[in-house]
Amino acid sequence: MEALISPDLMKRLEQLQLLARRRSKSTAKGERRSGARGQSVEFADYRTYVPGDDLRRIDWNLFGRLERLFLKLYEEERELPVTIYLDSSESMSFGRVSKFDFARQVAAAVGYVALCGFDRVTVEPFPLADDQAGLVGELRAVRGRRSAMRFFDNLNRLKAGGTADFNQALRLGAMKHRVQGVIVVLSDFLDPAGYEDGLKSLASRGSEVHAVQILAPEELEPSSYGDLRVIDSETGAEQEVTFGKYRLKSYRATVQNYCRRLQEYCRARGIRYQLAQSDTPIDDLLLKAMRTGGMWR
Amino acid sequence: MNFLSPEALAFAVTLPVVVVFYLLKRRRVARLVSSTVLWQRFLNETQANSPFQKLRHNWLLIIQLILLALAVFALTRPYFAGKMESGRFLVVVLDVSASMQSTDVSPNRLGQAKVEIGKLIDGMYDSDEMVLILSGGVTEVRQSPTSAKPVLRSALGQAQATDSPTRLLDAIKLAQNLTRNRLKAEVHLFSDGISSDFDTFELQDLNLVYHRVGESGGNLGIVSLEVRPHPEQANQQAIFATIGNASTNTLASDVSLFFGEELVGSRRVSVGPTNTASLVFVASQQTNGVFRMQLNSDDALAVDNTGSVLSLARRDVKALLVTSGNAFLEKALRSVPKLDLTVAATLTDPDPSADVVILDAVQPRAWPSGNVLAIHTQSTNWFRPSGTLEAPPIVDWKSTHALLRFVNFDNVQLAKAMNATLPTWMTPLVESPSAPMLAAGEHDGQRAVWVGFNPLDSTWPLRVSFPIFIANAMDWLSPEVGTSLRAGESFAIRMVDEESTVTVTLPNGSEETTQTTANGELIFANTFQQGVYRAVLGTNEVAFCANLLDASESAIGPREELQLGEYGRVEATVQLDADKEAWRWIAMLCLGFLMFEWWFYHRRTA
Repeated sequence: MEALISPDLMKRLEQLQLLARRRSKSTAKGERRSGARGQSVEFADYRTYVPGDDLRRIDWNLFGRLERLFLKLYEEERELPVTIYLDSSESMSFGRVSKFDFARQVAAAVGYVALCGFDRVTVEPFPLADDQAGLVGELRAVRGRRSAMRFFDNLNRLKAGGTADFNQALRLGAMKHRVQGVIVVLSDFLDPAGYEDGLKSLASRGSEVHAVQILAPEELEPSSYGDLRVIDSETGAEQEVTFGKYRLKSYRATVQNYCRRLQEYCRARGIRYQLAQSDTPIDDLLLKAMRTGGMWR
Repeated sequence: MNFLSPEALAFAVTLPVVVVFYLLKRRRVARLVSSTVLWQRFLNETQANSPFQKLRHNWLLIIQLILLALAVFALTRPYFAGKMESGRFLVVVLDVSASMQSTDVSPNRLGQAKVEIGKLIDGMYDSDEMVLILSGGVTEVRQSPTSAKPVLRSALGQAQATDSPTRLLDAIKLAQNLTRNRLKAEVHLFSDGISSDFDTFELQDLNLVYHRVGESGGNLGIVSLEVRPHPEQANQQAIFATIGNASTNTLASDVSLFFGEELVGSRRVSVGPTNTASLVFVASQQTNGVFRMQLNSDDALAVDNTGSVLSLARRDVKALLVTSGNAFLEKALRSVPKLDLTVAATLTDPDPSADVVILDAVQPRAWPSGNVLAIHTQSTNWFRPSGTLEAPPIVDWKSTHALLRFVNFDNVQLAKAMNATLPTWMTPLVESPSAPMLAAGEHDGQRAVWVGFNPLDSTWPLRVSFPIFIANAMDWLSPEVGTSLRAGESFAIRMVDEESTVTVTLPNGSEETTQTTANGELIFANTFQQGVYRAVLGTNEVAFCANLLDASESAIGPREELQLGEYGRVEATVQLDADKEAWRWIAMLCLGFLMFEWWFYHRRTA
């Protein structure tokens, strides 16, 4: 089985840190700054000593100057829950470079960066095949860099297939998020029922949502010409079309409009949007596009 | 609103074709794709599945149909009645004589002339008018003045070449009358210019354009054909023929003569440049039949390579001489060959069985009904005598008449003669200063020769001209039916005594039914084909032949100019200036392009 991320890329990913605009509200300890006070090296505030406080946290230097007892408070560092929604429907298996393979690479990279930052990583593939129910359990709440290899291995065992209900999957996922974190949606966003409800549900939970739309080169620029009857791989729906090079320009415009509408929808709801072509070098996407897109630094 | 080309409505069948293009169900290749979301968005305007749903709200189709309907409508050339300046008046004279059948140009001269006239018609403006006159043996106005091009093209298409000689003068005179007092009048003559009757025509202010048709003049043709009794062998017929060559090269050919289907003889004849060669065939003939001469020459004009002449078997002419005694006359009559002479003192039967009755100084009680040679005889019906002339001198005689062929009156003296006033139908042939001495004529089918003096009262019986005259008179009074005529001439013969229906079989085998006149005379004018005609009335059958036999017509070299009268001259125009309308072709191209565009568009669009 081929490795999802090359060792060289892993080294470079280790230097990155996921960006979260909001402080972590997780209860579990980690390395993210949070609003809670606790033990860390980051000074936060002073407060007056009350009996029962830990004497080790009294600021004796301040007592020497003011002859009053103050306790020195530090920020509590908590973990950041990172959830990756991975579209594993049949439509993702298309492309000269499979969209699903590309999405798994992105998921692995995001997960690895999160694991290196001592964050909790969860991968939610949808739709979920029956034979992969156990595998999904392995991909939930993964912590620690040492879990990375197993995490990659589990990702590699995922398969694309079946019909996805994008909105339903994201709505159910949003209901599970009690703690705000980072959510990454990896999909082609080509669901006949649309994507609006699902994204809206995620964004309304206060989490920081990243939408990565992955399209195959054939979808951006079809290579089949003539009188065609195109069949939807997921729904089986058929569409008669006569296509030629002379209509390529207008087709491109249609795709651009579709992507632009998705981008505008995301921007309106504070969702960071990224378009990726499945044959794009993964390094360029991760280290350039997603970096400038505010995923990490 | 009317239409000049209503037949263009046939193009309306293209309208449903466009609709059918829309309804066509095409075979498509199945392709599995990840999702049809993008395709559906791309093709949301062609989501319909049922055929007629495709036609709904399809503005492109509606525009196409409107465009197509307008194009078809334009092709019908609609017009509104209005007033405009008068256009040209074109009189087209098309030569349909035999020489126009020459194949020196493709397909022949008439075909080329039709093409040229077609161009002239194409170049007509809406306000122009054209008359089409066909000039062959007779002149015919084939199409009266009209601006309708389809009508003119139809009339032109029906024009056929005849086997008759050219009579262009009548057509030109008719054109002159038609164009008189008209502005912008033009007369266009499409001909090879072979016509010999322009000498008396004055061009005056006639705007005549001569379109020469034809290129070369190499042709060998039969220009005369005649059958006569052999002068020396009584039971033989002599067939005289003349072969003409109007070209500047010596031409040779085989000449065959047939009697019916039987070959009489064949010879090789070589004719020098612009010369003729005479041929004489001798053949015995027992029954009536047709001699047909065939010239086996592969030249440009085929019609003058054959000639037919009907020959009747020689029979004795029955003559009844009513005389009180005239040895000279009787001897002269008996010297006429093939004459069965009967001599009588009086005429008892006014309707004798004789072909010719010779009344020699006798006054019959009833004038005979047949042909008569009346010598020194008066008929109260025809001649009104007014006395006797003493020793009248003969001052003039018409030697060109058949009766006076080789007859000379220089040394004939008369002692006395009748002074009579002739009926108008008689022509004086020999005249004295005060009265005719000899006259001949034909009245109501009866021929009569009248001699106003008794030969015995003259020196005439002693002269050689007397028996010659008697022989000529017997020939003239016992004529063979005119069985050979020029193509285009009318044939006339008295078949019965009352009006009847006659069926005439033409040389091409077709039959034509015609009525005789009230006195039973058949007059048949449709003789434009060369060959043998047969008229049948009950058991009575009459045959006659029509031939070209025209030396000028066989000289098929086209004339570069026409000499009209003494001073008029019209040079041939080869190129014709005409503004040809091209809109029709462009409109049809537009239609074709529209159909192609529609097919091409539909091929590429779902």
